[in-house]
Amino acid sequence: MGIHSSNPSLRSADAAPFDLLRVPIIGGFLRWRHSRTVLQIPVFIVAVAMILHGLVGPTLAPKNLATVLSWVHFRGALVLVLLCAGNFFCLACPFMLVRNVARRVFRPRFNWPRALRNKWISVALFVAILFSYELFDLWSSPWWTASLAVGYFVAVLVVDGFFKHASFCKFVCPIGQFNFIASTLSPLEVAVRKPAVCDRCATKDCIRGRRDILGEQRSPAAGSPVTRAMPGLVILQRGCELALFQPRKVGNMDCTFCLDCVHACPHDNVGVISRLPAAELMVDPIRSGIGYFSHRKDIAALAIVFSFGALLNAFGMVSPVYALEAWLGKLLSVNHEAPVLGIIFATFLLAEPAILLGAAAWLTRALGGSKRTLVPLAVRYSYALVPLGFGMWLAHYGFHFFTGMLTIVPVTQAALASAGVHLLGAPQWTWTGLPIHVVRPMELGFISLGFAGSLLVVHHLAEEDCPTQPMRAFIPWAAVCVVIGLASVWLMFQPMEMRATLMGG
Amino acid sequence: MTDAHISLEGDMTHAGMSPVVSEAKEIAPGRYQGTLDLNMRGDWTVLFHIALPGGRTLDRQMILRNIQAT
Repeated sequence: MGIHSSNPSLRSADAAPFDLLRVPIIGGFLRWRHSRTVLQIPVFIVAVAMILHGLVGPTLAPKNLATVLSWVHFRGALVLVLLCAGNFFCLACPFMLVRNVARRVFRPRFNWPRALRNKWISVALFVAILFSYELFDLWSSPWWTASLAVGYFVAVLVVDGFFKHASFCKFVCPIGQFNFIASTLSPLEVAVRKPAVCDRCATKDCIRGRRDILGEQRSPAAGSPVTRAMPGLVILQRGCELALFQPRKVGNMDCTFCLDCVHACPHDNVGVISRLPAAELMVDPIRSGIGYFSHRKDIAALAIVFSFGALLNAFGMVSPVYALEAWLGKLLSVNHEAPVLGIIFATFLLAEPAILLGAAAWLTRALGGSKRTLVPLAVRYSYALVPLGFGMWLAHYGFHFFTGMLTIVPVTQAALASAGVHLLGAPQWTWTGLPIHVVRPMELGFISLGFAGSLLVVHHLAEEDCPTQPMRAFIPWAAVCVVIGLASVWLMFQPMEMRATLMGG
Repeated sequence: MTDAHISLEGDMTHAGMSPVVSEAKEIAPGRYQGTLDLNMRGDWTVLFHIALPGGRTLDRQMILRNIQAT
């Protein structure tokens, strides 16, 4: 398998990259215009079943499709597919299926406000979901889990009902942001096959799409008199709704793998191509639809929440968190969960990153002589923590997935039985998954992989930042990686404790 | 309630965790006793699957909060 990257400095000239769209059957299917819809329909049906079962089915989480599928299977499969392939869950997103149907009736009229064209809202929603997960014990509540899914459908319809393009995906969706930042570590990327072909392309359909003008298929030049005069032209094929212009696109950030660009390209010059995972975190070219990573404090904040949130989310499932919250509750003389959780979240997501990244940035300037000031340094190196964070997400979600992967069988049997359909006898509730002692080494492997990835990115950034003395810039950030890595391993070996109320009743 | 068959099932509050199962034995008329190995800290839901002599079945549940390791 060859390695490909949109960034010319990382592209191998002599190796032919692997292209998923060239693989027999799979490639043919993905190149088919309706492949996304075909993938979305079964996911939508499962989502509806989850919601119905969550709202009216058993209240016990291990017996309900909503909680089992959301917190065991969906999360685990999501991170494993991101690790092994790419952002294919956004490709099969059921919310976009509903949105596309709704847009046949309601045409959005507005552009997303310029002031909100960043990740701050979605980062806040990402934190809000992590917070709600702990506060409302989502893992133990089918009703809350189903309500969250319903809320998601409503939010998609409202946002994309008013605003054009994929505003929800790019600026609002917290799951999408998780997928975007994690997919910087995926081995596949939607990218141009031959840049020279794009240089000669006059229509740029990959971003503009194709519309039917007076019964004739054309690629309208943006803002041309024809499109201005006829705003209701029928879209034959969308271009990229997330404003990623393929020839200038770098990496997977903001790419939903919707493959609109693949279908739109008249030269069949867009593929799903192999590349070096995490390589896009090492470079800082201008990226179409994004700009420079080093200038995007909002995306850096996403990287920080992604990385430190991985530890926080796992911390919520082990015994020490209950001792900490009991101590905090006593200290503050409060019985309510929200303020205690708020302090824990502020510590993990604000204070800890500020101290660790601030100290490392200061040392990078003091020891390595970096010319950047503290905040730009912290922004630039924060992307290096993404592999470590992803390692922890993989360890955590992989644990639940592998130890509980078979639970879907009895839960589905019971759900069907409640609807009068009896399959394969009585549900075997002891069907779970792999034993914990088998999964533990996998967890260690994921964390180690993430640690190694972060060190590689840090080393590359240090060489770029302080070419004469890279080790002086490397050591402070490597120390941050060691702290996070050790914390991850420590968390993994803590006794699990699952209470439906954080404050113990 | 005599001569009933009672199966015990302990479930964690998180989906995907392995349930623990056991049987309760009738130690005196109408008195049943069984043991469940609650092997993880936290909140457990214990389900009682009861089969009565006439063929009727009942399900009852009980929540045990804040189980700690011994």
